[in-house]
Amino acid sequence: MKKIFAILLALVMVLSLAACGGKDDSNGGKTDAPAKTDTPASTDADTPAPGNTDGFKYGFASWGTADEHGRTLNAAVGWAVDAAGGEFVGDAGGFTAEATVASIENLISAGCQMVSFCTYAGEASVPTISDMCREKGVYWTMWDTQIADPEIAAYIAEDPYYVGCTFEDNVTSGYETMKAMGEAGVTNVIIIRYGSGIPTCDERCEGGIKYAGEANITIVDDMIIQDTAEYKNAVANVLLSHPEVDGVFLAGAGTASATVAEAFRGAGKDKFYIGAFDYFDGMGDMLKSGELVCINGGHMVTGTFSALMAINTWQGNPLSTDKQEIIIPYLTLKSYEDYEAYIQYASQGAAYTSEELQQFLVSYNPDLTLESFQEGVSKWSVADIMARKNG
Amino acid sequence: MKDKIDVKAVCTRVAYTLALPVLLYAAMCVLRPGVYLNFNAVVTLFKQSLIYTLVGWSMVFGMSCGLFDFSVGARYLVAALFGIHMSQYFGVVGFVLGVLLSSLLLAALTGAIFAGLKIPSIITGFAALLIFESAAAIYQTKFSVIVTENISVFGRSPGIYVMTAITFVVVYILFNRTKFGYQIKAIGGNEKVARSMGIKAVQLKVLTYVIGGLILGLAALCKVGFDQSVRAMTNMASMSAAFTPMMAVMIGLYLGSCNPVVGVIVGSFSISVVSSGLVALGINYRLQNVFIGVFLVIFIGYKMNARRIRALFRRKPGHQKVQSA
Repeated sequence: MKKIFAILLALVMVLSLAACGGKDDSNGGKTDAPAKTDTPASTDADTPAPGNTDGFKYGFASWGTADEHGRTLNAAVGWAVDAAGGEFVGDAGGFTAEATVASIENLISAGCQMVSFCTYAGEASVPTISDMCREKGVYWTMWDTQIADPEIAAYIAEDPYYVGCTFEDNVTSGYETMKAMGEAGVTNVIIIRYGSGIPTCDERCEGGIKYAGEANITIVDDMIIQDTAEYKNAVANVLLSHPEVDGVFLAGAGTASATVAEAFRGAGKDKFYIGAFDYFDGMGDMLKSGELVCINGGHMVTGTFSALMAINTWQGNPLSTDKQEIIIPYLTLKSYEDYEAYIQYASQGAAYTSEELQQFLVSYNPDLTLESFQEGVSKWSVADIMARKNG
Repeated sequence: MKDKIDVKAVCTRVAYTLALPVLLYAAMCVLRPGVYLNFNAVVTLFKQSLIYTLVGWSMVFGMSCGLFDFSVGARYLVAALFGIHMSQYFGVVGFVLGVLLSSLLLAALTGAIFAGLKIPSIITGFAALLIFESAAAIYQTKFSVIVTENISVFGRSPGIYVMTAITFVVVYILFNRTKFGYQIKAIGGNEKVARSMGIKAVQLKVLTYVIGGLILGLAALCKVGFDQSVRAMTNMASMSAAFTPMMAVMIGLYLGSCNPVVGVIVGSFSISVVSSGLVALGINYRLQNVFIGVFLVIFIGYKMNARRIRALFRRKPGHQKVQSA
């Protein structure tokens, strides 16, 4: 009896796997998408289907909404999708490459005509996702990403469903962050990276290290720590060996700023400087106390504008025949006043109205070009938000 | 007539107990005298180890009777978030009660699943981990998670030392001076024999979850103030919060020369010394876990094979000695 049950169970599992892995040769409901072949004709990319104003589903892969950055990021994508009359579908897979691929699979299975993801877990998954989207006829973009690997860049350049990416100038931001710390008085710094081989992280550190070299700031240690719960002990251990350390450059995971500050206080230091990326709940208090010198974030619109790029293409109005790259400015906060302005105008509620975002869609703004799109994006700042909100 | 205390035996046991951390620290003093040859370093490392000790004490009951529960980190997250949320309405009292009650409840729930469905503790732990991690991630979006000064008191001097002392007394008494403590040790020694003696193993194991939950609550009170932040994790990332305390408990259980409750302190401090020493020696941070893992294997491997190792050194040439396993 047990043997029969075991065989039946094995058969059910095998059949389930076969069903899940079965390729869908039909085109689903995407009547406007180019025909799916392994090597799509180049004319498909050059001549997208015109004027598609049907409803759509837009899939967004992220790590989740538990933190300030994740929450505002997902919300910001929703602004764009709502403005264009679509449906937002989010999948919070996590921080690994496998989780990102799984998220995209889930989103495509959910019927999304467009998907977007970030390579915070590394670029290795990009060709796999490109293949998946090409096979299913799903347009895709990357947010907060600029591919550094030339082979991967060349691979996706051939994919007619790849629309483009949005990214920040992380080298300059890293440079300016370290500069802010230097001007505040830092002399010996620990750099903490949140992962290895992640271009966003590496570029921020590249900029920071460049300024440190110019300003004679000593980089005492350069660590890679994925788990923010380990930051405090890691900093405390370095302080034991190097009590001259007076600053920490967090290349991401700004939420660890509080625990890093606690490490300094535990070592008896009351004067220290933290520069970080990615907003977190307690940053206002830390900016007020001066422990946090500079924090870069508010780049949730990286998701907004990658969505608008994709929607334009899906609607048959690509902004360019080439792959699009849009640079998103950070909202850099260096004081409590900056923080208050961010909270009032950017964190609570939508920083853009639907009408303002529709100006980034060719279907509403026929005069829109790639250049005017970038020009509009470049205005992203607390001052710009205040000006628009106050009329 | 009162038995005379064998002073020599006590001193020998104390020496064996302190040998591991003292030798490790002495090695660091030789390698990096500028860093470790000062009392401040000892205090810093000891304070660092306290959180591992506190969490380890919450696990010592379960691990003594063969239970491995990786949901400790996830349960801590939910309890900490609930406590912080309650502190925003009811201050420190809300924080304390919120953390303790939620920790107890979550532990009881996990224990009930384990006992009711008769699932192995590892599987129950993984399931609970996934559920509680997701709950924490959703819950965290509902309010601002800010650790205020008044609730940080348990994680800073002298609060953390007071909490550690109180927890030590509670755990020591429970583990060594109660019927519960004797019975879980009996189950850990040989469950079949313990059951045949009338010990209700399942009920006791559930009780280890509940009592472990209470101790974890005490640990969470300190950890929130110590870390100054609580961040929900997903995809089983909270499991890492259990690893170091688990290693400390293993060292404590295998140390042999002292009570396991004291052994957890020794294990935690030893791991802190190793972690800190690797940084001082400039070892790449990514390799540090390799060294800690190797250290654990060597230590436990030696303890498991101590008799065979001693026999190897005692064996005379041409004479075979029969060794028991």
